Amino acid sequence: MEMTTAPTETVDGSKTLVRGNVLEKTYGSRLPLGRSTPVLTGADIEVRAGEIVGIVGENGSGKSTLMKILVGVLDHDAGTVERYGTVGWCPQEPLLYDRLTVSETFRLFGAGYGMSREEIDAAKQRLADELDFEQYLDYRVDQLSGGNRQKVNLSIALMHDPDVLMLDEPYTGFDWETYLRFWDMAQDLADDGTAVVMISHLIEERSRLDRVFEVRNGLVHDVTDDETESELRSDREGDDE
Amino acid sequence: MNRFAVGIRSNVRTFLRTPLNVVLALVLPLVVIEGWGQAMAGLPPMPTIEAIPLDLGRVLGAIFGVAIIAGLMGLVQMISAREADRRLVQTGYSPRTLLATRLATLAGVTIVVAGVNFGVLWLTVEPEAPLLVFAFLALAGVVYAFLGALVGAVLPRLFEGSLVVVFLAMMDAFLSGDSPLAADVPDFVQYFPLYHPKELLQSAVFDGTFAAGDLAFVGGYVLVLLVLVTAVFGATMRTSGGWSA
Amino acid sequence: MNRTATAFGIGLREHARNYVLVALLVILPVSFITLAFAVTQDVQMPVRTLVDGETTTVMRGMPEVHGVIMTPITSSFIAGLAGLFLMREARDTDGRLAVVGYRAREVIAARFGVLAVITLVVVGVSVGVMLVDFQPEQLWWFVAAMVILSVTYGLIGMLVGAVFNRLAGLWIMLILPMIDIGLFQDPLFVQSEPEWWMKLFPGYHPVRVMVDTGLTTDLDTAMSLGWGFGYLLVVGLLAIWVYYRGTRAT
Repeated sequence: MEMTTAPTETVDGSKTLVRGNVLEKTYGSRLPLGRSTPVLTGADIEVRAGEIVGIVGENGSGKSTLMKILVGVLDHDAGTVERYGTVGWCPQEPLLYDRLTVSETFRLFGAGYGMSREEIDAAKQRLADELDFEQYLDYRVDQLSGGNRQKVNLSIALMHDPDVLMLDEPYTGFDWETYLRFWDMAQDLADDGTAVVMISHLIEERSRLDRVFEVRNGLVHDVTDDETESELRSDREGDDE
Repeated sequence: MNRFAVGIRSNVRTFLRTPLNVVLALVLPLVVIEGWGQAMAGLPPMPTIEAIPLDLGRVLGAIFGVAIIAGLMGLVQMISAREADRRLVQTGYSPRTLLATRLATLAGVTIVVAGVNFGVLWLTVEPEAPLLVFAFLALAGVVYAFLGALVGAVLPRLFEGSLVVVFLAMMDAFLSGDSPLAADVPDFVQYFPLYHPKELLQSAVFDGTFAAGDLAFVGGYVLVLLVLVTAVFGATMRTSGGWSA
Repeated sequence: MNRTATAFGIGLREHARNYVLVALLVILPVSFITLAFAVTQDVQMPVRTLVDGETTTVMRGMPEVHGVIMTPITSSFIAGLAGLFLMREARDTDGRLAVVGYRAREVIAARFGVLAVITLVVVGVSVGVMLVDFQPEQLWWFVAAMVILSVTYGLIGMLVGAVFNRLAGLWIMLILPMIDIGLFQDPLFVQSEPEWWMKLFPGYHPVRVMVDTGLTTDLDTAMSLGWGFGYLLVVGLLAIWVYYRGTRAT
C-alpha cells in the first residue's frame, strides 16, 4: 500500500523536532528482591515538523512512558533524547492544582513559559473560546467536570504555541463537538509547522494521522502502512455481505 | 465466597505488603515506652505521685503508643479506601459489610500492636494481672482506631485529619496521661478517650484489679463510636453520586 | 513575570483557600495551649537550665514550664505535618511545572516559601495564645528559637514525606516531636545534663534556648541558637536536594 502523503507532510527537508535513540527504561525496585519491569528496550522514534503522529499500543506497552521520556519529565536508563524547539505536554492525568481557578492556572503555567501577562490573557481567551469553557474561567479546578478539566489540561499544553505538542489521550471526556474542534485545531497547528504527537486508542483516527508508531515489546515500530487487526476484520465482514 | 473474609484477608495483605510499616509498628512501641519511662523517672519528687515514676511512665507510654498507632491507622484506612469502597459497593458489597471488614481488620492489627506493647510492659514492669493488662491495652487501641476512623470518615483529607487526631492524642496524653503534672483536671477530662482506659490499665498493672465502672464507660464509648462511624460511612457511600441504581 | 514570585503567590493562595486547614491552624493551637495552662497546677518545680554557663536548677511555676514546652510542641507538630504533606501533594504536579519552563530552583523556592509562611503563621498563633498566660523573660530570643525549631521540623517533615509512605510518615512525624520535645528536652523530666544521644535530636538546641530565655533573665545559650540554626541549614540543604531530585526534568 502506498504511503498517503497528507498536505502537511514533506518527506524531504522536513525538520526533525524530536528524536529518541535506543531508549531504555525499566521500572522497578532497587532492592534485590523486588520485581523490575522493563518497559522500553531500545526504542527509536523521530517526529518532524508539520506532521501528526500517532502512538498506539496495548495497555502497559510503554506509550506514556515513552512520551514522558521524550517530554523530559521522566529519566531514561539508556539512550538519548533530542528536542528542538518548545514543547507542550498534555499528560493523561490532568496534573493541575485543585484549588486554583482556571484563570490562575493559566497565569501560573504561562509564567513558566515566560509569557507576559497580556500574552497569557490572550491565549486564555482564545483557547477558552475555541474549546468552549469561557464560563468556567473563575471556577476552581476541583469544581470542574472531568471533561472541562481535560479542556484546561489541554489548553495549558497549547497556550504558548509550542513547536512540538505531546498529547497523551487528550480528548478524554470531550463531547463530540469539542472532539471535532480539537481535530481542527490539531490540523491547523500541523499546517503551521507544529509537530503533533498523540497517544490514541481510536482506530477511526488513523486516517487523520500522517504516521503511526506502535510500541510493542519495548520497541517502537512504524506501522503507518500496516493494517490493524480491526481493519482486517472489518474488511472480511465487508466481503461476507 | 464470604465477602467479609475476603475483605479482611485483602486488608491484612495490603498492610503486610508494606514491610516498613510492620517494622515501625513493632519498633515504635519500644521507643515510646522506654522514652516515656525514662522521662518520668527523671521527675523530681512530687506530692501527687503514687507509683514509681519509671513504671508509671512505661505504662503511660504503652497506652499512648498503642493509641496513636491505632488512631492514625484508622484515619489512613478510612481515607485511602474511600474511592475504592464506593466501587466495591457497586460490585455488590453492602456498605455495612465493607465497613465491618475495615473495622475488623483495624481491630485485629490493633490487637497485634497492643500485643507488642504488652510484651514490652510484661518484661519491664511485671504487671500484677498480665491478661487484664493486655486486654485493656487492646481496648485502648480499639477506641483510638475507631476514633481515627471516625475522623477519617468525617474529614477525608489526610493532612487535616491527621492534625485533628494528633492534637486529640496530645490533649488526651497530657490530661489523661500526665496525671502527676496536671492535677487540676476539670471534670470533662473523663470523657477523653484515654482517661478510663488508662485508669483500667493502671489498676491492672499495679493492683491487679479494675473498676467495673471504668470498663462499662469504655464499652459504651466504643459502642458510641461504632454507631457514629457507621452512620457517617453509610452517608458518604450513599451520596457518592449514582451507585444507587 | 518573575516565576518564583508567581509560583509562590499562587501557592499561598492555593493553601489559603483550604478553609478547613486554616481553621485548624488556629483552633488547634488555641485549644491545646489554653487547655494546658488551664489545668496546670501552680506549684513551684525545679527546672534545669543554664545560668552563667553552668547547668543549675532554678525554681519556676509549673504553668511557666508548660508554657515553655507546650508551645514549641504545638508548632513543631503542625509544621512537621505541613512539611510532610506539602512534599507529597506537590510532587507530581510540580514535575509538570518543570516541563513548562520553571527551573527546579524556582519551584523549590516557591514551595519552601509557602512552608515558611505556614510555619510562621503557626508560630505566631501559638506564641500569641501563650502570651495570654505566660510572658517569656526575653520574648524575641524565645520567638527566634521557636521559629528555628518549627522550620527545622517543617523541613524534617518534607524529608520524611519523600522517603516514607503515608502511614509511616505520619507515625514518625507524630512520635518524633513528642519524644524529642515532650520528653527528652523537657527540663522537668530530665533534671541532669541530658545523655549525648538526646542532644542529637532537632529539639535540643532550640528548646534549651527557649527554657533559658523563657524562664531566666539572662541569655546564656546564644551558642545553642547558633547550633540550632546550623542544624536547620543542614536539614534544609538535605530537603532541597531531595526535592530537587524529585522535580528534576532531564
